[in-house]
Order: sequence, then C-alpha cells, then structure tokens
Amino acid sequence: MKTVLSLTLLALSSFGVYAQNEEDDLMGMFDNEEVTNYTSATFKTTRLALGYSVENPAKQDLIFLISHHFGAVNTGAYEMFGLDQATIRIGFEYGITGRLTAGIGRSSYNKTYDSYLKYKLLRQSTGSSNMPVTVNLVTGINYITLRNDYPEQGYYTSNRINYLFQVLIARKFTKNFSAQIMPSLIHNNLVPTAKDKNDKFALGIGGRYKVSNRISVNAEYHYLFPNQVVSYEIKNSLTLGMDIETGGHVFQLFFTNSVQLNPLDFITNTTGDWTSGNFFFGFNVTRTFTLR
Amino acid sequence: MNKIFLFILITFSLSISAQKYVTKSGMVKFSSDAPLEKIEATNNNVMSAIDLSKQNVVVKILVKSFRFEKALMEEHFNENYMESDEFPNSTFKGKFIDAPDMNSNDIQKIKIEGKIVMRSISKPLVIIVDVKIEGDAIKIDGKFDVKIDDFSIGIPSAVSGKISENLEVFFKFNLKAL
Repeated sequence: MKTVLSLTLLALSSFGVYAQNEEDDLMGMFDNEEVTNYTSATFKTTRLALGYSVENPAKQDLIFLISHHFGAVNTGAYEMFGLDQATIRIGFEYGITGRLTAGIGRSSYNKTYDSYLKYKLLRQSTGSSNMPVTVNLVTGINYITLRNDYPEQGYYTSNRINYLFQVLIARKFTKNFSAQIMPSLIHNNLVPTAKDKNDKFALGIGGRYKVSNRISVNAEYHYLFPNQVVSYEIKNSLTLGMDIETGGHVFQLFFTNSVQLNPLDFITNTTGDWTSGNFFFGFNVTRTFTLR
Repeated sequence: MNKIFLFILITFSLSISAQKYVTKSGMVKFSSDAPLEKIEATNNNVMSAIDLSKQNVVVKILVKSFRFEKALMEEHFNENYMESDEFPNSTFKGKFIDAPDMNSNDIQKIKIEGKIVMRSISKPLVIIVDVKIEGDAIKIDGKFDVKIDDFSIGIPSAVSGKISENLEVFFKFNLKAL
C-alpha cells in the first residue's frame, strides 16, 4: 500500500509541475533538434578590400565589380591630390555553384586580363557539425597585353603570363568581427633580373568590424617574404577601408599603397609608401544580379 | 486492488501522451507586397506540437531556414533585419479556445490565443485557424499579419519603398499523433 501511495504522490506531483508550464514542456520536445548552422556573411562581399574574401556569389548569381583607384595623394593640388589620375578594373564573378566561383576581369594596369576560380572547401558551422573556419582555395592566371617596347629582345607569349595560388582561411568570431589569413604563392614567368625569384610567397591578414548593420571598417595587409624581389624596392600592401551596403550594391571605399587592383599584381608589386603620402584613394562598387 | 490502481494510473498517463500531435515539417510563408518589390520566403521545416488534453499549441521556427528567391535577400533578412545569429528562433505558444471535434470530418474554425516571440519581443496573437481531422492527423492552416514595427526591425529609409510595413504570414501544419 505504501508503494502505491508514494507512486500516486509522485504521479500527482509530476502532473502538478507539468501543469505549471505545460507549454514550455511541449516546446521542450524540440530542444534537441540539432541542425547544422552554417555561418553566413563572414564578409559583406567577395572582396576584403583589394583582395579576395571567403564569400562566394550564390549559385547562378552574377556580380559586376568595378574597382577604381585615383592617383597618389601626395601629387598635390595640381593633380587634385590624385583625382586626375585613374586605374580601373572591370570584372565579373559568377557562381557556378554556391561553392565554386569563376571570375574574369580587365585592368588598365599593364592592360591585363585576369581570370580565377575560387572554391569553398570548408564552411564554418556550429550545431550538429562543428567547423571553426571557412576555407577557400583560389587559383588565378593573368595575361599582360601591354605592347613590347623592345621587340628586338624577343618576347614570348609565356612572358606575359602569371599565376596565383591562394588559400583563404576566415572565421566570423562575432556577428561584427571577422578575420582572414591568406597565404599566397605567386609565380611570375618573367622577372626583371636573374636574382629575382619567379616563385614568391606572401602571407596576408585582414578583417572587418561592423559598426552598424550596413557599414563595416576593413583592413588588409600582405607581407611579402624578404629576398624574393631584389632588383627594385618593394613595399608590403596595406589597405584600410570601409564597406557600405545598400540592398543589391556594396560600396567599398579605401586608402591603399597599392596602385594595382588585382591580387596577382599588387601582392608582389606594391611600390607606394604610406609614410611619404604615396598612397591612393579608391573604391569598389559591386552589383549582384540573380540570373535564375 | 493495488494492481488495478497501478493499471489505472498507467492508462491515465498513457492517454495523456496519446493526445499529443507533432510535426517537424510545417510550412510557414510570409510575403511583403511593397510597390517596388515583392518579397516572399518559405520555411518548410517548422516544428509544431499540440497537446489536446490541455488544448496547447506551440510552434518553433528556425529563422535561418526561410528560403528566398534571391540569395542576397536571404542574407540581408538574416543579417540586417532578423539578426538570426542573435535570435535564432521565433516561437508561438498558445491555446485552443474551443477543443476541436475529433469525430468531425469538416473544416472547423477554431480560435487560438497566445503569444508570438520574435527577436525576444513578445506580442499577443489571436487568430482563427482552419482545423481538419484526418485519421490520426490534425491539419491546421491559416494566416495573420505581422507589423514589422512591433518587433523593432529597423528599415533604413533607402529601402523603405521596397518593404511594406505589414507582412502577411501563411502557415500549414500536418500534425501526426505521437
């Protein structure tokens, strides 16, 4: 009899608890629903500032990207502090799948055509599958079409071609702060002297901090390991900028000491110097078109 | 005597659990019909449960599971409007005011009263839903309006012409007996 009494009491008391927040209890059925939560929007667009970010366009989205630099700020009032000069790149990026991107572009610097593939190898996620970082692989090739001023020296088509291999590793630490590191290997078929290396290694680091839902400040720095470019003076590329998002457009405004607009060019060829005012104002404008 | 009592106790608790209905693939769709742009998104993984003995209804929505026509819209929805990293779920907890007639095959109009929670802001909601009993399943569908203002979702003036102030929400659940 004692057991029955205690059982009844137990049943009644648990019933009482149940009645108190029965709706929460019903909701509790779904507490263990584990889904993989993929991190989205680590960066606002496919460029950190000058270089690639881990963002890919969605499947069958086309991004039209105009990048533009003015001249050096220290050219003075005569050149309107650089505004009279311009370097421009016009490019398209297309999402073959959500993880594989193909891009093409044309830069006024050295009259260069470039193309690249970007593949999202890993996606940062929490929940039923945990991954701390997003990783993209980038491979690019460019072709310089600037006229050969010394035809008597002989000039091979291969001399005009350069290659880029890059790994982008990024993590969205908080909803506002994301960081990315990017080891790069650049192969130049033609270098100025025999002492200059054809294969050049660099390590980039960058990040963004969102100051509001639609505005972020960005920074990007590429360290070129020493003794690879020796025949002329080289600087590491440093870019400071901000992203402004307005619906289908993202505007990226920045100051940089790189005159080139293509990662394949600026990582190994930056000559601008922040300390002497030899840096440039520039911007990217991206527009996304959904082709589906 | 003891055994009979225990038996009654067990049947009683069993009968409670038998009155629970649940789904994990409910549909919730919303649309914003602004003059410049029609925005529509569908979520086919909505969780819902009903406890008939208490006439309770709960709904749980993973905000990130809404699918839009344009990927960019989806990103902006999660990043800028719903801030779904911070507020991953929206919920509804409510009660049937009248119990549905389990023996009827007709569509029954039943009033539900409860609270909707979005972005941790709670608002009362009273709606009349269509309920249809099909074997051991309960089908519920209906619609209601959500005022964006009520949930402190900031819409910048630059896009205010593209998003209407009221969202029309449609839902359809097919809950199976547990």
